[in-house]
Amino acid sequence: MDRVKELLAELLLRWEELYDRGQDTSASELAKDHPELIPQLERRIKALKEIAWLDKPLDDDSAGDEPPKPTPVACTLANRFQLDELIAEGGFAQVFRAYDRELQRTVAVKIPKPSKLGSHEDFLAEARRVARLKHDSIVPVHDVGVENGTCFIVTEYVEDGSLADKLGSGTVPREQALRWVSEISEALEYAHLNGVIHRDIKPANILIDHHGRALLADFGIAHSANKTGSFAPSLGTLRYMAPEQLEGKPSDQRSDIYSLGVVLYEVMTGRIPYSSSEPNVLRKEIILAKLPAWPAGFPGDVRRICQKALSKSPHQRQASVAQFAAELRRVASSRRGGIPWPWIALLVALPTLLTVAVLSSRPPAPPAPVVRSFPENRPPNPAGDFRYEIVRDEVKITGFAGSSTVVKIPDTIEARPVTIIGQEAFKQSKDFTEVIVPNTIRTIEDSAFRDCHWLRTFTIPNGVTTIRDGAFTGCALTEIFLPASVTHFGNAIYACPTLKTIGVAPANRIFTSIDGLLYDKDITAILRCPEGRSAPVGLNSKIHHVGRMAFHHCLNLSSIDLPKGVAFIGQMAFYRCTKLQQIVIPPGVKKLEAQTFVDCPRLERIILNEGLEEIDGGNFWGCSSLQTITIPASVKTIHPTAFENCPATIEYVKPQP
Amino acid sequence: MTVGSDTQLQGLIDLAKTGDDRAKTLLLDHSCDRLLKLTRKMFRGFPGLKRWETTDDVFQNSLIRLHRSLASMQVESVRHFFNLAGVQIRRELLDLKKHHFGPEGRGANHHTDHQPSDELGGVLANKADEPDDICMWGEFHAYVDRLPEEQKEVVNLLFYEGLTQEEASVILGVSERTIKRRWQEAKLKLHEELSGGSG
Repeated sequence: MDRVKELLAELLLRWEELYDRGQDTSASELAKDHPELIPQLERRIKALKEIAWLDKPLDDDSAGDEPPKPTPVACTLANRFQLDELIAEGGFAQVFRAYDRELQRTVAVKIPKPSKLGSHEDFLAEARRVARLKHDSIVPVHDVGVENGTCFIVTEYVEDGSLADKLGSGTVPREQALRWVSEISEALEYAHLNGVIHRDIKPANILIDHHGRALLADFGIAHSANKTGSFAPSLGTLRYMAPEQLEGKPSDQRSDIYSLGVVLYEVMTGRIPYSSSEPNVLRKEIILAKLPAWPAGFPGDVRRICQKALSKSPHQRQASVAQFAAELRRVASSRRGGIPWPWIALLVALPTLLTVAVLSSRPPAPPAPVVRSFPENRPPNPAGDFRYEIVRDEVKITGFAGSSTVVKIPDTIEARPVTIIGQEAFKQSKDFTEVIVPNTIRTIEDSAFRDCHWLRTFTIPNGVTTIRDGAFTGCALTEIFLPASVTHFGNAIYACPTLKTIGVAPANRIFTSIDGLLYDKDITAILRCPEGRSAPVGLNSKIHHVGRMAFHHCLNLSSIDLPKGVAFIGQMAFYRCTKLQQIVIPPGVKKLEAQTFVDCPRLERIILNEGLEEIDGGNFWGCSSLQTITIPASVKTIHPTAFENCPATIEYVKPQP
Repeated sequence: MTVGSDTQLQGLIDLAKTGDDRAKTLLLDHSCDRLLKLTRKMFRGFPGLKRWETTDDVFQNSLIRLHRSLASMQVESVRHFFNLAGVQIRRELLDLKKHHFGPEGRGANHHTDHQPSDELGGVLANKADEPDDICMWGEFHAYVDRLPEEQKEVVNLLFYEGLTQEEASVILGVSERTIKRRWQEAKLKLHEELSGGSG
């Protein structure tokens, strides 16, 4: 009996593996050697299909998780792309060779698995962004779309396989492979300059066309998948991932440099630096282990490039892939008289040759782009690494291309004051950890420093009046102080998980609402600054609105004087303020929203003023030090659970007749 | 959660064991996020509940209890944590169902908003379909509770905690194939229960 059970389980696992790959194999085919099991197997397969919803991600409402099946009856997407054959499959997606009926050409169609996607919108937005990249070493994206809940990307069909295939066959001359790495680094440089990080560089994503050129595929797609937080890399991908990616730390273009370093190592030695077949062990090796000894014969100049790229710390790697590419070029130059490097000539003659190549191999392709290496090819700039524009008689910083760790923004350019840090001026992937801002700055625009993952120190000078949405989103700031001059502070600091402290200058008289600003439970203190950094809050007297969860988890908050003008206190506003001892609810507050003081075990005294009309549920749960609560006569509604799990005696002030 | 973040998780657990409150709080975030998603899923088929309270409000009540119950427990390993969290999440979801559709639940007799599942016509023709009302979800969670321990542990990790099979295999220290097998057995068992023991 056990034997039968065992066999059935094995057959079902086999069925599931095939089903996941798009083959709906019948029970009779699976159990052809055990015909007596066919009826039971059929029932179980039917059951597994019916309960397949358990495998869907929770926030995915679309049907099934399988891309269209590679059945003989070909599926056609968008009434145009006819899927012919499954040519590759990874943890993230399946790739089909397909036929574009409209342009009558062969294309590749990639169909990601819904469970690996955050949302269709995110995915399509990312795919469209990638589609704008035009470079001769990047596989062009022709189209993206969604049909019946299935996302798909249509790209050029590159027919000669991948670098992984070539390495697998063991037939790649070292110089040839190096040339491919160099081509790919140029493509990455272009992508990084356009704000796109690949995040999944590996030989399988480097395709080789019939002219022997390397093209980078799958741009940015892994990034879309990663946003869901559920992206589980395959072992194949894991081997090329940078330590910071595996540790869940912010990754930037230097993660791509690491992966490129692994590829470089592999093409030079035929193996990868860390190669355990156990994901857990492999992960530890990548994060902690020293590089293995360099094989004999590994050229010293390439080793230095490779070693730097494979540094555990992103700071110790090449600052940009442009630098990586330049170092490879230097190696090439130094060898002109030695090892034959025919690709040097190719690079020198690149524009002409690429045009010819494009014309011969891709009939409808756009003209070959001019890849500019900013800032090297830029005209002399009086502002150094800064891009800017003159707005009336003031200067707006619009971009930055430096690589220092401390960035000092000039106070004047071309004898005009620098007053605005423009939208997305420093967005993404910069090397700096600190920015010094002159006191001429008045405005920091939307997303100005967004996703500067290493930015830890930023002092807002007095004089800045406006800080717009997303200005510091994704930065590594630990504290931020708002000077008296700030009159508009947008939703500028969301997704700053390291931010613990917000300081508000006592003299700031316009900063009147904290709604939303502190919607982040990592904030542990709001300080008056510059004095009393260790003391808790004294809020601006003009504050009238204390938002939902405003002081949630403020573990240092022992007392707070809510200004008399406060008329609203949001739900869970003081949730788990474990040191809070006393509080006076201002008379303008009509309702104590639900769970306002949950888990405030040291709260001994709360004064509810006349004017309060309603006390919602779960308000004093766990307030074990509260002895007495006096309910003012104005209260009309008390939720049944308002005082649940609270030992206080409730006193009620009778209304005067 | 990625495989990589498992390292962080272990670090947080170590910190939590030393009594670091904030580490413990961070450790709970992942489970709280899953609870929110499961709550929303459960209430998706029941938009009328918003007449009384929003899904987020419902969630917050559960969240507080989940937080409290997990915060009071000593966490010993990643596996231990996820086991506790899975059980607590399920308990919260079952309580929610009882709260709204128990004998005195506010939704129990509220015909305009809630149709008992047997009045849904053909929608639930096959009872092993994904539950589409709170009662059915309640039954589902109760069935999970009755699964054999090994299978329940895998359901905790894959369904309630949303981990991948690869991550689950690392946490439980078994092969991915064993995870697949237990998951398949659990699914067959749940199918049998949901379709009235006919499977």
